[in-house]
Amino acid sequence: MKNISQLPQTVLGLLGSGTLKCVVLFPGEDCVAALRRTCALFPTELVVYTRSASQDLSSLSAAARSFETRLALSPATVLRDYLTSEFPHCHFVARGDLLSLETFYKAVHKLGGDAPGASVTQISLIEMPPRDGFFVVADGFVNARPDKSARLSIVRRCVAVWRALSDAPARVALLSAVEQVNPGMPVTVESAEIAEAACEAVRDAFVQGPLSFDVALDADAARDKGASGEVAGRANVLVGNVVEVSNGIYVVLTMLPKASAASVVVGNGVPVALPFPSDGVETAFNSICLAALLGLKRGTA
Amino acid sequence: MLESPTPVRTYSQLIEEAKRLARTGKKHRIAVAAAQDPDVLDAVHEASVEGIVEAHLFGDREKISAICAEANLNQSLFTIHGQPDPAAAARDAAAFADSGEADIIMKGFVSTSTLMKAVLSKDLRLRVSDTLSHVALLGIPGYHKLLGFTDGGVVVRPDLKQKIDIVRNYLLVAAALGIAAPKIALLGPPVRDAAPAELLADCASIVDEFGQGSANATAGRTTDAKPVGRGGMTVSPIIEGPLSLDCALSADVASKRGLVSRVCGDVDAIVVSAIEDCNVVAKSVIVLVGALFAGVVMGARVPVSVVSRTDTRENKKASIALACLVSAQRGQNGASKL
Repeated sequence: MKNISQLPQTVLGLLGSGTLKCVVLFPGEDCVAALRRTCALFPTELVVYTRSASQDLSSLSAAARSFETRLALSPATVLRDYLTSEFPHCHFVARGDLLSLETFYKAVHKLGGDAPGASVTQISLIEMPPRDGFFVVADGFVNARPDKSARLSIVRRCVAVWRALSDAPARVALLSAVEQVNPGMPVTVESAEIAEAACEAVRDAFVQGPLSFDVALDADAARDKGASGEVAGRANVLVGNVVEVSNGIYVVLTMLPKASAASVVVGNGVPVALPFPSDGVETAFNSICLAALLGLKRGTA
Repeated sequence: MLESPTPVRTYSQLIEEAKRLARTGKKHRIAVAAAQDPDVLDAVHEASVEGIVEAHLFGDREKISAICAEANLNQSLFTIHGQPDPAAAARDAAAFADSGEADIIMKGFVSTSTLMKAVLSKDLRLRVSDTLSHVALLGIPGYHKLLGFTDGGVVVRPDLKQKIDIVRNYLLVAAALGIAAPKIALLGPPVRDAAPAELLADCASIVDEFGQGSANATAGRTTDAKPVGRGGMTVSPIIEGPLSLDCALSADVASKRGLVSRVCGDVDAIVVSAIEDCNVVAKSVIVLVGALFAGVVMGARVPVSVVSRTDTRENKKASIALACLVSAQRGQNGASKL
């Protein structure tokens, strides 16, 4: 697939006559709306964690194939179980809008200490017309200051997500302000080292860096600046050096010109749909579809 | 004489203001370093035709003539100072500005670092701040005004002192745009827990350094350190941080996330703690959305205009216009105070 709008039909294809199993953590209004859309498209079994027994979720229970609520005060343990469990009884988890980013962040970081890069990564799809097709960006949430090995893990996770979505080869750009390796800019040196390590460590993908944003995505800019390689000018995966870069790309493109997007957190367990507070129902729904797709490809549940 | 107190909020207002300055007799003299560059010549030519600038070209006379002939540019609009060597042309252009004969320096066919070396030369008195920094103004569809973004071009990893200089350099741009109380967000990660201790400490120090804006700017900062803006206004920034970008850009998101802020949703400038944070994010909207972009290097006695080959014609013109506005304000923000 090439476009975010193809996510639902791809999920349908994978689901066949099966049932989608989803665990929902603390849904608010937007999440409920996105889940109702999900239930309308796919037969869905929902297990919903809430903080209050009095929350009215009747519209969800009416829409779902099966529906169960569980009371939980803290999401940390629940989240940990699903992100690490090898054989969970669901395809994916959805972060509801009543689960704050702060709480989610803390819970994820209890899994892997300061640098959970090897275990958990946030990955977004962004599609900004008139450019055709989405690209992948990471890590815009979980790993704030990934070191070299964490960035390599992020690259690996991104390639896995890309391969779940597309037959085209993954072309990964390690983003920087410039294309030249320059000792005065540590990010450029590190990016070159990661690109080299990725040649051996990451299969079925081209990895190039350092690349500036324009040279990575824009063929004209790549030609103008004389950048060659398998990624320059045609990157489909962008890996930032710090969270401000990857999150910044997501925020500036989705909040102001309203790019289509989907956001997930992937680890060794099931994927988690993680729409951001700035996202509306549409992106929440896309994120659920992406998490469902990745969960179905994972083949458990 | 009363100047219009309305702040410049859009691309067209930026161009209009540069034209208005030119009409009121403040035509800006621009010294182009190594002017044998087709894109730069084209931009300078257009600005000259529109009467915004008076151009002095330092560079290879033959090459400049050839480019003008090929691109059908009216060479009589330019004063050409022949110097075939790019580094020497950069030095000549800087010396020209240093002697008060030019108000703006512009980069031509010479590397940014060579030009900066010329500008910072100890033989000249162009260096007035310890830090040169790049200020970008972005016109992003969906945002209600030009968004400042700094520094994505010069300082790689600013320390606290440099960050404060970067904010000061931006305030001179805000002054030139006529923004009396620029709202500045010091950029941080999406959640505060992810912010390194150093970033938190630097943000606290910067907020301290500049006080809390005009409403209660009694502590921390003296009035005479504040730049003077158009019409004689005092520029009093409102600075908060670290702020995540989603909160900085939207009051709704900020309140949804439990933040009480005077900056969120109406931010004038984002100040980052590393070059990539600004460079990559700004380029993402320029490349994918065609965001309008004007940039200027601040910190020298005259603004330095650096345009890139890949900038659109429109954006090059905006950068020249921005340099004119900054230059016009320069008289009221004398070098000694910086």
